[in-house]
Amino acid sequence: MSPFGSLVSLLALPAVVGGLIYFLRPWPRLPHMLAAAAGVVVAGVLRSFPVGAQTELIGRSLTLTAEGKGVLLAALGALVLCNGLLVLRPSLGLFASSSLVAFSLLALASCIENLTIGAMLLLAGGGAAALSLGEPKRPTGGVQYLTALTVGCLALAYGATAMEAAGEAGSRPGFVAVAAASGLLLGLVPFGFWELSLGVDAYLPAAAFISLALKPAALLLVWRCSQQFAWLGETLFPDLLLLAAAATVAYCSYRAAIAASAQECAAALVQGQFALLVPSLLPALGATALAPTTMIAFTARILPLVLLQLGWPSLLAIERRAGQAVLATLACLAMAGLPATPLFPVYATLALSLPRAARFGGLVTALCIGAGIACARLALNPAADHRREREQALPLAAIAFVAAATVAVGLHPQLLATYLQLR
Amino acid sequence: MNAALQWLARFALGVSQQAILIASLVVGLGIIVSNSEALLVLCLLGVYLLIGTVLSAIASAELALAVILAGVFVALIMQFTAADLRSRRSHGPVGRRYYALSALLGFFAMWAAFSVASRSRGLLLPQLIALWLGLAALEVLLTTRAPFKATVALLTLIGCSLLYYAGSTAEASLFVIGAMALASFAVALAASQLALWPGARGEQ
Repeated sequence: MSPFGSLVSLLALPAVVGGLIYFLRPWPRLPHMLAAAAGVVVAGVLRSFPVGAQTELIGRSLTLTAEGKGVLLAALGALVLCNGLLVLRPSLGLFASSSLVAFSLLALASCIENLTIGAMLLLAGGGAAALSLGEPKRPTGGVQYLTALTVGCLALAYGATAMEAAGEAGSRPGFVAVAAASGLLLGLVPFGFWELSLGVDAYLPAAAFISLALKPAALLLVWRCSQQFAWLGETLFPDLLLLAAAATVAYCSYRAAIAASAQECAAALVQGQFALLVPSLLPALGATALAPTTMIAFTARILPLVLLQLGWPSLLAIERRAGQAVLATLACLAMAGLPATPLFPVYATLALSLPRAARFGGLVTALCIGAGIACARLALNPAADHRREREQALPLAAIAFVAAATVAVGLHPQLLATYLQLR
Repeated sequence: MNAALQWLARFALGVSQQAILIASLVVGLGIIVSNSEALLVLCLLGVYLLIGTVLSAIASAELALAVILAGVFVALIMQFTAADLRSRRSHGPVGRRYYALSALLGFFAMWAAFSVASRSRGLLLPQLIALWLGLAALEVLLTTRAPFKATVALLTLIGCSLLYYAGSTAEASLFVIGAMALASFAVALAASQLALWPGARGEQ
């Protein structure tokens, strides 16, 4: 046990804080400030917990694995950043409370050893995160997201149970359920059309938080599933995932290139970017050798994604000035892995360590082409659908801060490793 | 509490399997065909009551009571949402094609469920009910665009999984049931908010 108390108390603390700050809504900035502060405190204490720390929750074992710790720190980073930016432009919704409650549930899902209960807690966490989706004109994205989340989590839970019951012999229904759940939860085409709709229809910080907290937690559960049932790696499962990821990247690149608005373009690029995670982690299925790279791959996406998903539409919606155009282009290229951005060292490491790096390089190039065309189109031809983007626009100072942090972390990649305590 | 548990156990023993099967058919068809929020809430409550009745016969009365209580709270959330929806707007016209497609797919879902049941002789009543209601919920998710109806389908799907887990020996514990109930609450709350968005519409 850590000197700061038990793991369960720490993971439940954000939910308690989230419940309390719900009553502080008359002061719009205060909930976001407190949520960001709670995130910083929890991240600080969590870093003091040793990897392998164990505790019990109603008779079920909770373990803080290295991968789980990385996912939690990434989610906390996203929580702090999103709430910190919203201090400057407070939202009227439940984002501060729901992001904290969602984090607690996702953290429990990431740590609990039983995969079935983990999938159910993931569903509860995803549902809590959906409370802050906002009030757009059409609810399509939210409904698609909830459907994919529910069906995916139930399929994952069923798959884990079926495969556990079958043992080494393997279970065909379990395999099909886990493959479908992976596609649905990770936003892979043809299952994952929800993510693009969510990026267009939802409140921007909520969509960014879901990308940065829910998807890594889902990926962790799938990864743990493949680790627990090693025979999955010898089936068509890795090939199916690779094919789905390649189709997703190609589709998202195309959608970004033809996007009518900056928000739609950002959503497509974000979905494509997370699909790139899948082929980069395939060699690690069922093994722990690539765990440090995995954690950096998760965490390195926080700043570029927030800059792209929150910053780019905001920048283009305010006014088109030279400085803003430079920042907007940086946001786009940061997601593509431009040198001096956090994803560049990740890509460089993967290119050197992956067994079939050429395929991965091809996918990155495909996404870069889409991002480049989108950048050029939106710079030359301002989007027509700026009304909603203007409503959600963040102040320029906030975007400039995130852009500066992106370049700083890109130039000093050891900062990420230090945050994750890898060195 | 003990009296409630005893009553539930006696009630489950008194109801025949045929009655439960017929009730599940009615509830499933209601979810597929109905477009009325009040009826959908009633069907959702029916799903949880059915699951509770089946569980009190095959598992424990405590588990069944927990499921029924969770179902009542979820149905209450949906009922409040339905009341709010009714006060905000009137129903738009629902096309005949939608009804026809729903009925056709509902028929196929029923046919598939009972085909599986007749092929696998070991399929028990709880599994048959879970299969039928699950297929009905998936059919609704494929055809509907209305957030409220989609939510009822999602909650039905979670209820079917609940029946599967509570009835199987693999993961029959109160923690699993509690986690599923928590997920049901979260989905119901989130989907209620979605259904109450100004842009939310029914099927056309």
